[in-house]
Amino acid sequence: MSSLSTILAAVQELAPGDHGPDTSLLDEVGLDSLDYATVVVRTEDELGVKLREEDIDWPTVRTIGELAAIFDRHGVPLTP
Amino acid sequence: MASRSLPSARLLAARDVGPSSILQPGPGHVTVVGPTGADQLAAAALLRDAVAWNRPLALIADEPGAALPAPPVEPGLIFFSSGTTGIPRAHHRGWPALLAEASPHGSADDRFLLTFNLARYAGLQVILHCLRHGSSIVVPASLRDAAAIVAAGAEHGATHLSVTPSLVKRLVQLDAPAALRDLRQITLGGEHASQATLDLVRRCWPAVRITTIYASSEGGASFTASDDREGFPAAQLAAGRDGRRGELGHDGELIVHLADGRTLHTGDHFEAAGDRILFRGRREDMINVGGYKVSPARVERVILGVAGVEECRVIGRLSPVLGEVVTAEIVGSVDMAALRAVCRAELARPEVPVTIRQVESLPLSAAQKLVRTEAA
Repeated sequence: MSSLSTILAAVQELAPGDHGPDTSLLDEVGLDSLDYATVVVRTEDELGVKLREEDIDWPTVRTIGELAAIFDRHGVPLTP
Repeated sequence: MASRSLPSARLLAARDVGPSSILQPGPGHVTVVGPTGADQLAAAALLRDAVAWNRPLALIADEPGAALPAPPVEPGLIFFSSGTTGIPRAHHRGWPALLAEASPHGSADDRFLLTFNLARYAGLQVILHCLRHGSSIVVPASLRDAAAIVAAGAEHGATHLSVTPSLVKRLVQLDAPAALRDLRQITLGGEHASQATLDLVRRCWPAVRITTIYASSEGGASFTASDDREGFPAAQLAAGRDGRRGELGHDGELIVHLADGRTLHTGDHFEAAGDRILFRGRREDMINVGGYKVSPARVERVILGVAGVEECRVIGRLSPVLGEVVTAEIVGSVDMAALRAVCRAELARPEVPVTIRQVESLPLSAAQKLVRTEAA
C-alpha cells in the first residue's frame, strides 16, 4: 500500500468520512493530537518505517497528502 | 579472628555446571566472582564460606563500569543494584544486617529452587535465607533456561520457589505445577505481581503459600503480603521493619527512612486504594504522553482483567507527535474489539494504547524481569 492509502485507511478508522489527499487532518477531520499520533503510529507499523521528530515541520503538515509526502521523504526503515 | 557461627547451606547441583576457575582474588582481600551466570554453584559456595568465615566478598555481575570501593573493606558484601539502565551502583552491607533481613521462619528441610542470579539482590536473599536456616539450594544447570529450572526443581523436590512474576508464567507453561508438586512456598518479587498473576499461581498450586514482596537492594525488604491480593497492606508503610519506615511522597513515590537516618527515594511509585497500596510503576517506566504521565502498571491491570488475556506488556513508544504514546502487547486468545472497548471505557484517553499487538511471548531480561524498553 502507498503511504497515502495507508493514512487514508487509518483516518477512516478514527473518523469515517469522505476524505482525500487535500482533506485537512485538523480542521476538517477534527483529529486531536492523540488521534494524530495514532494515525502516525499505525501508518509507521503498516509501512514498516519510522518518522523522526526532527524531520518534520509539523505546522506545514496539514493535509493527508502532506503527511503522506512526509512519510515518503523521511520515513526511516524500522530495524528488524 | 574469623569464627564459624552459622550453619552451612547445602548445595545441590542439578548437574556439573562447569569449572570454577573464574574465581580470582580482587583488591583489598575481596574475592571477585564473575562474569554473571558463569558459575552459580561456585558463587553459592563462595557466599557460604564468606559468611561462615566473616570475610568481605564482592559479587560483580557482567556490568561494565562497575567499580569496587577502595580497601579496606569491612566484612560483608559488596553488590550492585540490578540497574537495567545506567551505571551499576555498588552497595556495601555487613553480614549481620543482611542475615537479619532473612525471614526468621525456615528449616533445614527446606529446598530452595534458585531462579535468581546470586550476584543480584534477589538471589542473595535466597542464599542468605538458606544460610540462616541451614536449608538447601537447588541450583539449575542454567538460570536462563526455564526448562532447566523446572527439571532441577523436580529432580530435587524443591519446596520453595522465589521467582519473578514474569518467569513464573513461563514455568507454568512448562508444566511446572505437575513437576514441582512438593512446593510449599512461592515468593513473587523483583517486579510487580498483578492480581491476574496471583490468581494464576493460586490455580496452579492450590495449597501453596504465596507471598509477594517489594524490596530494593538499598532499602531491603519493605513490604510483604500473603493474602492472594494484589498490592500490600497500607499499614506496613508506617509500621516499617527493622527500624525502617516508609511514606508516599506527594507524587506517590515511595520514600524509605532507613534505620541509620538516611532517606532513600526509591523511584517506585504507589497509589493508595483503601487498605492497600498498589504499585504504579518505576519512575523511568512512566510513559509521558504529551505531558500526561501514564502508569504502565495501571494500564496492564485493566488489560489483564479482560477474559483471555494471559500476559501483557505496556510500553511507551517514541512519537514524533506527542513525545511518547502508549502501546500494548498481549499473550492470549482474546476478542480484540472487546479489549479495545474495555480500554476506552476504563482508561483515561492518553492511557488507551494506540496499538495492541498479539504476540507469542513477552521478552524477559537476564534478570528474568519483563523488558520494558521499546523494541528496536
